[in-house]
Amino acid sequence: MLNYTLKRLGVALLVLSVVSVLTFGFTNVAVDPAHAIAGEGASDRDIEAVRKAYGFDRPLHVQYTEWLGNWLSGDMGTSIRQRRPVTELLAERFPTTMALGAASLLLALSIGVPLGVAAAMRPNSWIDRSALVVAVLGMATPTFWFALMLMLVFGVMLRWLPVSGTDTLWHYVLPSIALAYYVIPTVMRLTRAGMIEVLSSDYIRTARAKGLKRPQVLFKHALRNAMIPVVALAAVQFGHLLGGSVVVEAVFALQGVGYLAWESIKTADLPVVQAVVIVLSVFYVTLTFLSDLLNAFLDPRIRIH
Amino acid sequence: MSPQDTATVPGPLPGAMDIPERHAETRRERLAARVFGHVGLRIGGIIVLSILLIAIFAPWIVPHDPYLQDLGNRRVPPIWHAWFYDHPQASWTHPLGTDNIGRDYLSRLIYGARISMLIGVLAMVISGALGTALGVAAGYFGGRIDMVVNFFITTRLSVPLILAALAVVSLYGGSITIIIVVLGCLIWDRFAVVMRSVTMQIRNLEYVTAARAIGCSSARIILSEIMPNVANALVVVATLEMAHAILLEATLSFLGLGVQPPEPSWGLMLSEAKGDMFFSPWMITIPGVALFTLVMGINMLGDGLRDVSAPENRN
Repeated sequence: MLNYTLKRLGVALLVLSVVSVLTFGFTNVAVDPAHAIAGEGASDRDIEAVRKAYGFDRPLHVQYTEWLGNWLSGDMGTSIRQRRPVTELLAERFPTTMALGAASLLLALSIGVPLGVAAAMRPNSWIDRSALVVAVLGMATPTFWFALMLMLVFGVMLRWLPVSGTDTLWHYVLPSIALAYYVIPTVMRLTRAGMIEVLSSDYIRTARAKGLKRPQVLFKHALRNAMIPVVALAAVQFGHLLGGSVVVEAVFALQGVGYLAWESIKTADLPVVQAVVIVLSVFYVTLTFLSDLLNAFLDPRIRIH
Repeated sequence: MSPQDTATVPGPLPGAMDIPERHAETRRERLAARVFGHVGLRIGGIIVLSILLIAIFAPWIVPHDPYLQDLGNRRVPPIWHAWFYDHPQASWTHPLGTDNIGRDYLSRLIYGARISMLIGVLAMVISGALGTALGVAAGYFGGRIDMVVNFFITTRLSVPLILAALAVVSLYGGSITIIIVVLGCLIWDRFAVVMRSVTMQIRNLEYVTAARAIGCSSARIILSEIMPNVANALVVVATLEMAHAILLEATLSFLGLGVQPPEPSWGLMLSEAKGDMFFSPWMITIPGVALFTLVMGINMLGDGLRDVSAPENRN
């Protein structure tokens, strides 16, 4: 297990260093950062002055080493447009995005798992088929359009829920639904597949044969085992949700990290963009790493491979 | 040829030469029956084909110039507002109404199909080429190459997709070419994953071993033994990724960092209509329905192709 953990950790760190080089490369080589800071319509001399002042005239590997050193000591740079440390901006916005991500994940699990179980209990029944239809429809609906339709129906026509802002918990309802909508099909299909496999296994037949009650077999014996891949998936999906929150936060004007990223991309605020991309990658890599470990811990066959 | 086929051939009789041909025909007929008998495949195929034809012949079928502004006729509602709400402005002149600067909505929707189709197909081709090359190489050679490709896949997956696409497109400007290249370079992961596992399954089958034993080069084995046998899986992933690319383009354009105005991308139409959603809700409904229909059609086509080509459905 230790061997496996170290191997996975090594891969995770390598992935992160490649992501950091890519991010740095795209924001420092692919575009001229001095140009971005000086803004539209700056004269050549202004750009040259900015380049000197920020040290963009030095060799790239020197800049990268310095940048990485700053990052590792917790300094993510300063926002060009807002003139504030990026760490401060992120700390301000993170709670909103985390709350949104957690709420969506909870919602997705609490809808996706029961639907998957119901579908697995009677394959090809009407429940199974309608769950499949929901999944197929969900895959074809653009998240931002679904979010707009939610706003239109529940915010504008029915006036049940607020359509933008973060003042109360009610403000999170529509954004969470919009974000969860896109995870529900995956959770549902994985639960269904897991349950179908588990329900046909020997120990379930044994449990039934010794006369245990149906709910007990279903929930205590079957669901517990079928949930292993779903839990691992949930961790990975949480990373995806944080990335997908850009769209939902932009639609609902929710002041989270996604909204910050969107604003910063539009205004070419490169340090902030860099920071959001890397922080989300770190999140994703960490969650995947943990879910790999969980899987390996629960299923020893994975460790040997 | 299956065992029964050879069993029915009654030796070298006169006319025995047509038997393989007749078999080829029945096989084609059986395939046709499977293709046309699959409801989802039929519906998906009709949807995708119709939208493709609309996209190709857009200049000849649009009722108005999609870029022409008519400030006197802004936010004209679609024709059904005349039927159900007796709206005085709604008429057949603008069957789907006009947008906030008086451009004909139907014409813009038709031109939008061109952008979606173009980006969907080309991004799918680029990502398919990249992903298939990586996946087949990893699956066929295994070992170090497999490790490196796996690392590429892991790295690609750890980059937040929408955010990376937004950032890169905004750095280089939102031209259609840039969007195609960026999306193509970002969504190859599923191709690589699927092609890798499919190739691994067949690389040790007898016919591949046989080809290797008679001294075929790796390139030849990959092209003439592996590729034809992974084609089914490839087509299915290709449809999924085409739908994915279309949704991503719409998302980028909706966020204002994809296709730039005045081009009529469906995502951009939604973004422009967002401000009017309170008074003219049809303006955000129509492009969304178009997008949904196209993606749904492509997915149905992909699912149908998978069902039809799945080995367990053969014969």
